[in-house]
Amino acid sequence: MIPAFAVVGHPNKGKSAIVATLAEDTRVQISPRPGTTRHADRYALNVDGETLYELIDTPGFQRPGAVLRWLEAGKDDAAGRVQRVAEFVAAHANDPRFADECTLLRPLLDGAGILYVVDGTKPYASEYEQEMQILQWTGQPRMALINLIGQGDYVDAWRTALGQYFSIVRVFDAMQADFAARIGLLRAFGELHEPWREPLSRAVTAIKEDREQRLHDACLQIVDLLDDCLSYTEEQPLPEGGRVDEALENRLRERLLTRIRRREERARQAVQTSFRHEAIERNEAQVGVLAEDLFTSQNWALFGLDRTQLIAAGGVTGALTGGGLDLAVGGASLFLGSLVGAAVGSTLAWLGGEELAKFKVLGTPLGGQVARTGPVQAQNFPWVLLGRALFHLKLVSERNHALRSAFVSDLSDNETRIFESLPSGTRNQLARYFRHMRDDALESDEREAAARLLAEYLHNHLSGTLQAGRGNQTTDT
Amino acid sequence: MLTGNDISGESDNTQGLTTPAEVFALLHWLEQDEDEPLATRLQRDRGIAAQWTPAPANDPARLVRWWQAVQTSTDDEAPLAQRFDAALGFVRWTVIVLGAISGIAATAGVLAYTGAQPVNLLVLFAVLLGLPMLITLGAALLRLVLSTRAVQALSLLHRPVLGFLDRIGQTGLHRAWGARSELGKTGFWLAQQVTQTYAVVFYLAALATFLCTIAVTDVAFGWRSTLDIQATTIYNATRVMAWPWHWTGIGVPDLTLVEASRVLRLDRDGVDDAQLLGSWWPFVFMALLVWGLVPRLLLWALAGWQVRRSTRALLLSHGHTTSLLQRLRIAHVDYTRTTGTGPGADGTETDTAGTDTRTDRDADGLSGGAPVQHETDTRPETRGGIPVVWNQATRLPDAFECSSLQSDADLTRTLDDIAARIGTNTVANAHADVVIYTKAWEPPVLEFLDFVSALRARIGDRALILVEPVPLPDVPTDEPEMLQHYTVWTQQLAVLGDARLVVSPAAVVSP
Repeated sequence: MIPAFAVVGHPNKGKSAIVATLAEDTRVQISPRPGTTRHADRYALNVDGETLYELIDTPGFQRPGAVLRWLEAGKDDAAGRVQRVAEFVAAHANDPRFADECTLLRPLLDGAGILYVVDGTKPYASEYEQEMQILQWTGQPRMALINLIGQGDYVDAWRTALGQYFSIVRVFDAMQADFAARIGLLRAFGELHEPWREPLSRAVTAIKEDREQRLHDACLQIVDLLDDCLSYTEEQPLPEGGRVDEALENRLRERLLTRIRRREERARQAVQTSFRHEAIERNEAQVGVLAEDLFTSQNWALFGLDRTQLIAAGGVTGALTGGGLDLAVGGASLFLGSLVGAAVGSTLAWLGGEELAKFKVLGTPLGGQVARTGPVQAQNFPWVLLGRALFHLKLVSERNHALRSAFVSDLSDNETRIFESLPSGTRNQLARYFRHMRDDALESDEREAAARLLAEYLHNHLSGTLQAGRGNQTTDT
Repeated sequence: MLTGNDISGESDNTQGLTTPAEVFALLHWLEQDEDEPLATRLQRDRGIAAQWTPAPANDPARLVRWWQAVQTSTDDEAPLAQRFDAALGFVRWTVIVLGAISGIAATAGVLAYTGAQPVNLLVLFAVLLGLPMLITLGAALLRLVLSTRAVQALSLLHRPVLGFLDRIGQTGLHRAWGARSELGKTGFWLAQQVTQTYAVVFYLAALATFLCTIAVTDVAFGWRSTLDIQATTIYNATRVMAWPWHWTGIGVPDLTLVEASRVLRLDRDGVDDAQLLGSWWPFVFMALLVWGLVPRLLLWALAGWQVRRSTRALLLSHGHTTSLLQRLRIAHVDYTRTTGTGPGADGTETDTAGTDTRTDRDADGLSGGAPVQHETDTRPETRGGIPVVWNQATRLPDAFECSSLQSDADLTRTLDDIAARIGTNTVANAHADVVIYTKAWEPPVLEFLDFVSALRARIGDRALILVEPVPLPDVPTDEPEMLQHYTVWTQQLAVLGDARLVVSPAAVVSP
């Protein structure tokens, strides 16, 4: 039997938010208005077509007192309690007064485990005991989740109360839970009932692998973005005797920048789709540094390399070129090639750091001339583009699917620049890839290797250091 | 070549996908496969992987097994591999023929001997050893120094060859030529294999031609140069050249022979022993063999090994195959949503549009009216009404305590008491008849609406009922959170359609 978990509780305690988070579904209706959920919607996790578990989003209790009174009015025999609940559902199947209770109890009678959700930021109250007692009557394995919706802290009181009715009590902030918290919760589901452990364990493994895969795919998108944007040029044929003026130069330059902006937007959409966050683009406002234009000086300061890093990267690239010369003469040049190359590379990085793209007038094989702008030559350009893309990826990958708020992209106060912690080895390797991209498009294997490098950097150096959208922190469980 | 179509996993055949032809055929197939929707590819590939018992031990084995499986339904790529092999064979045979012709021609050319002048050894070695070696070293240096584009531009011989293979095998080799990628490396070593085949055949033909010439003609060897080169210099050079085979004692010239072979001296003083000049041939033969043929054989073997290595690296690092391997290794995860049905034993939908049928206001005979008003006026007293505290929302003296825990009998008694007290209420200009205090942070459930409905039925339609959501002690009533709570309360109570029911901020707080 497929493990199923009915998310139940008082109205407006975040049941749907928990389902949205665990099922990675931004379509789940989440509203401050109680009673939004009227049906028992099922969200199944399928691995290779096999359903490993189901989450059931249910309506909240509306008349728990009346239900409990009905149940207690019958024979109060522990062995007959489940039967009594079944009788209640059968008796009120067509009674609109108990529609919500029947809807939420039916999956439990079918064998679903119970995830009882409360709000740990609001005080415990005895009226909840009716709901807990009803759930106890069903005899199903049950876990209590203390959700954190507001600002208060009544978790301890809730723990004490819930501990009397539930075998497992966990704090799970549905809106802020990160991936690790979600995985931890799924593991806990497996502890509820022995036969559920194996499918839940498989689900956890599959979800983790799937996430790695999505991260890699997103990094490939970023590599493609860089590869494309470093080769873009804009051209315009010049008529016979046509004038080359500043207006033409500005027009071509603006076309080039617009093309790059659109490409960046496309890459973002692909990353969002990969992490099932299409709604960010469709419904949600975006604020923060990522919503600003790519070519603002603030963005370049935040996401690019600083002058020292830039010179070092230029030096390495130059040294590699000069090193080829040293190798060619068997070292007889006493490595002057590397030294000169490093010096030239560093100088160019210093001098050329602020230049964006060159404007040229070129002859064509068929006669006539074309005006051309690009590709973008500025040394810092690929770093800015990469920095923004990595930051966006980090925010999207950590954004909770229950959030319906604006997509906020602020760097934390203590993290002023994205490449602050960029190791020199990674920087040099990336600089090499940028050089290859400028030289020609990356080959397939280089593209894969570059994506792996980015994923590794994201894992080892960005994870946890950036405040992801102010509120995607790991949740205490 | 790939044979068999075993996908059941009963045999773990990992042979295959080792030659460039097979790998290029696979990559071409995957390139075309990209047109298929991802879902289709996932379903197919996960289906194939699911049948593997036991699963292949490593990625190459996975790829081979997958390739065998898909080839059962698509046989069109095998001919592509065969066409590529045939094209490569054609190129190889062409260079073999060219190598043989040029080897024979070059050797015959330098050995051309009329009897007037001996064959100049310096020219012979320059043509048959020096020039090819210089070209090889020069090409290697250029590759180290020049950029990809420059290498591509200068590769006059390799480009057409790879372009030809590209057209036949859809390999992408031509575009990647000179690049430092695995595809570029594969193309480079494939080209090296072809050129070294040419060189090996060239030297084999040269050696054969040399032996034939020696056998059927009487060739004399000498050396001459306009430069002031001493015989000892030549002698030392020959000693170095003959070092690899000096232990055999064959083909190792001595100083006497070197001095006797200088052509200028020959012209001036004549030759004491003309037969002596013919004794150079073992040295020449061994020099061509050791410094010409053997290095080329080694390079040819190296190129072959590198072709296999880079082909394997290409297979495992190409984007198409890494994506495929991920599909084969990593289970496909997706979430499906099944929209549930509402109440009803048979699962049928009973919810009707725009109407909440869960309330029983009609049953209680309440008349419809204006929606519940949200009153913003607050006053620090119970406004003259009878105070009712719902679910311990606050503590007030003389208030009626009600909760959803109450039995039907208790509730009826409480409602009777409230109705009785309204009748005796002496507060002048009372703002409300009943004031119900509720927890602002707990949204109104239908149980509360039931209570309000029952109360309305008990106290009549004209009595004003004020619902006051009570905030927590540390939450001011004008906080956005509280305003949201009032809105929720107002909206929820509106379903009762009670014109004499008002929601207002509370003047008290929760205990």
